[in-house]
Amino acid sequence: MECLSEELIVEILKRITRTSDLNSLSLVSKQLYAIDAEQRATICIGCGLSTEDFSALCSRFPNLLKVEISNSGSTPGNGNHIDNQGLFVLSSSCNSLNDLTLSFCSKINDAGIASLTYCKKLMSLKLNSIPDVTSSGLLLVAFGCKALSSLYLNDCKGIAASTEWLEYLGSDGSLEELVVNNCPGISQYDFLKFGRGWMKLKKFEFVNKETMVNHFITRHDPSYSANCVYKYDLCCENLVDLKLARLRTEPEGPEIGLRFLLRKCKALEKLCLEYVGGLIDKDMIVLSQSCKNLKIISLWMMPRRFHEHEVFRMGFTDESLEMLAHNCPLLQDIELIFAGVEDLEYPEIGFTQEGLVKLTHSCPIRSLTLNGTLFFNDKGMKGLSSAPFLETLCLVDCKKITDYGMCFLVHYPCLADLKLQYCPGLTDVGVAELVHAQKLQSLVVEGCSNISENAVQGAARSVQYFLNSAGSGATHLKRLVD
Amino acid sequence: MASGSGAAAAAADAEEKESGSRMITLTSNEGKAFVVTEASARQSATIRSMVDDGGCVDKGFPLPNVDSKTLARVIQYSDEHGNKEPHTVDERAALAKFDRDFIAELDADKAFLYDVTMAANYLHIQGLLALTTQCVADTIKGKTPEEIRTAFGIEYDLTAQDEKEIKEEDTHA
Repeated sequence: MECLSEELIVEILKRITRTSDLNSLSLVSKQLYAIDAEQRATICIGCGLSTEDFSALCSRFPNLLKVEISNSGSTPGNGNHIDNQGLFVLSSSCNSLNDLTLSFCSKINDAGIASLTYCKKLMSLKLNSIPDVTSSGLLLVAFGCKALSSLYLNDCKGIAASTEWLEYLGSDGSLEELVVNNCPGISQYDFLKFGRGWMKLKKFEFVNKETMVNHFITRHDPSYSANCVYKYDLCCENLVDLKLARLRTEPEGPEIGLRFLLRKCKALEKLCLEYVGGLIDKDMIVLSQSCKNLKIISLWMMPRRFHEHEVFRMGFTDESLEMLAHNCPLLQDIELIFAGVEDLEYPEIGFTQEGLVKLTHSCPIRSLTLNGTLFFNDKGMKGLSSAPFLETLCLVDCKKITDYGMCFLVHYPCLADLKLQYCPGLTDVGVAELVHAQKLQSLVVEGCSNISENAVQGAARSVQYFLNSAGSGATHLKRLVD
Repeated sequence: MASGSGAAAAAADAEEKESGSRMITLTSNEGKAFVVTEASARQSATIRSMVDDGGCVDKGFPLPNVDSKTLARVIQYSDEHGNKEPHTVDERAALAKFDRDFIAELDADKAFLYDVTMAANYLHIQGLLALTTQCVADTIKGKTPEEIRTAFGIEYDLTAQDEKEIKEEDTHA
């Protein structure tokens, strides 16, 4: 290897990404130590590192591009945590830094965040559970980091009141991705201040911080102020990926909150609406007419009382599915998740399996996830057997499906991947059909108490079996408990 | 093809140039000449730019940094990738298999692997360079420092103090 030029050794090292391998290389010889130090682009720092040690790492690796600092699983008293001084050292010694993630850093506040303004190349900033960072700190980042194109905020309690940072990022910034999750001080109305910034945005995600119980029992949005003048004349023509979660709009009366996005995103390809209260068929009609490029849609629904003295019902009905089928020819991935529907039947439930099956025929649906869909039974399973493109089917908490319905799976023309979670109606008898047919590439069975581990063996090229939610799929269950 | 008139010959020549079926001579540092198709030679960005810049194709290209044994192996790769363009799934699979066999053979002779790597770098044959550097990288993966030294014949020149310090820093990175 010593005969190879440094240029070629660099080429080789670029192909090694695992930290443990790079660490081994650094211990091989002086030459490899030096080349690795020069080339190392990524480090992940946990807790237990003193500022001095961190400082030594920063000067050893001057060309870091991506740094992740995470104190997850540790308490502030438990060993050293990177603090403001540490962040200052990083910002001043690693000038190429373009991607920084800070997680659970309780010793970092605005003073530390301020030093990020030295990172002129910073493009992506993720702040995850940094309670002491406030709107002022974000404003400094907005001022100083002109290259910032992706901002991710999760569980940052300190960001509240002032929206100057959003206004500045909107008017002078170059954000293409904005993700705000579970930050109690940021409401949907704050994003109206983002102004011109909406034009450049390609991805937007907002998960309102609210417990599911609260979301279920309160109909009107507590953060809406009738006296305030909200401006909705915003353009978001480049938005491709949109997720809104746990916020409320009103189907009648004045425009409320971020609902306006649904009629403005002409380029939208991926949409997730997770328990957005107050949406009705009318919204889906407008959406389907303006978002012709829609490829992926995920709807998390719970019933609501739309008028006094009215029963609980879903906002969307088959009409929504019909509109999607009619207007979105590229739609290929659908996820329908229902919460709180135990006692509901048609018409309160809104969708029928006929409507759903029709959609799989009109659009090139490759992937379908049904979660808590009590309206879907063996007849629906039969209906899907003529879905021409369906490759991936995921059935979660579908109590009405039985072994009889499973028999139809073997007739699905393209089905390759099947996931069954919490479907108590399915037993070894149904799975035996899959073993016999030998058509599946992958099968995941989780929490199906009447299917045994033995029965799934050989049912697909790759088989995973979990008896309860300790397995991979726990997050796919409806998030009813918070 | 009949070459009655000058115009027809010129047309044939143009056609030949168009289709990349001209022949090009590459000469190793030992003076041995290798005649290859232009399509094969164009796998090398170095030769491609010389040809496109109007370099004297007739005189051939001397390669003072590459010996005959290495050049022959590099040409084996370039012929396979330059002379056929895989269209079908099967053709692509066949090419992938060629790459696998090609690199497996090289991997058995590390010194030769380095020669081919250096030649690929000098000639700017991106696919071949990716193949050989990946092969070296794969050898490193999962090995201890001592094993890497043995595998590549690298002399140990760190002091015990160096090693202790680096190890300590590495535990955090």
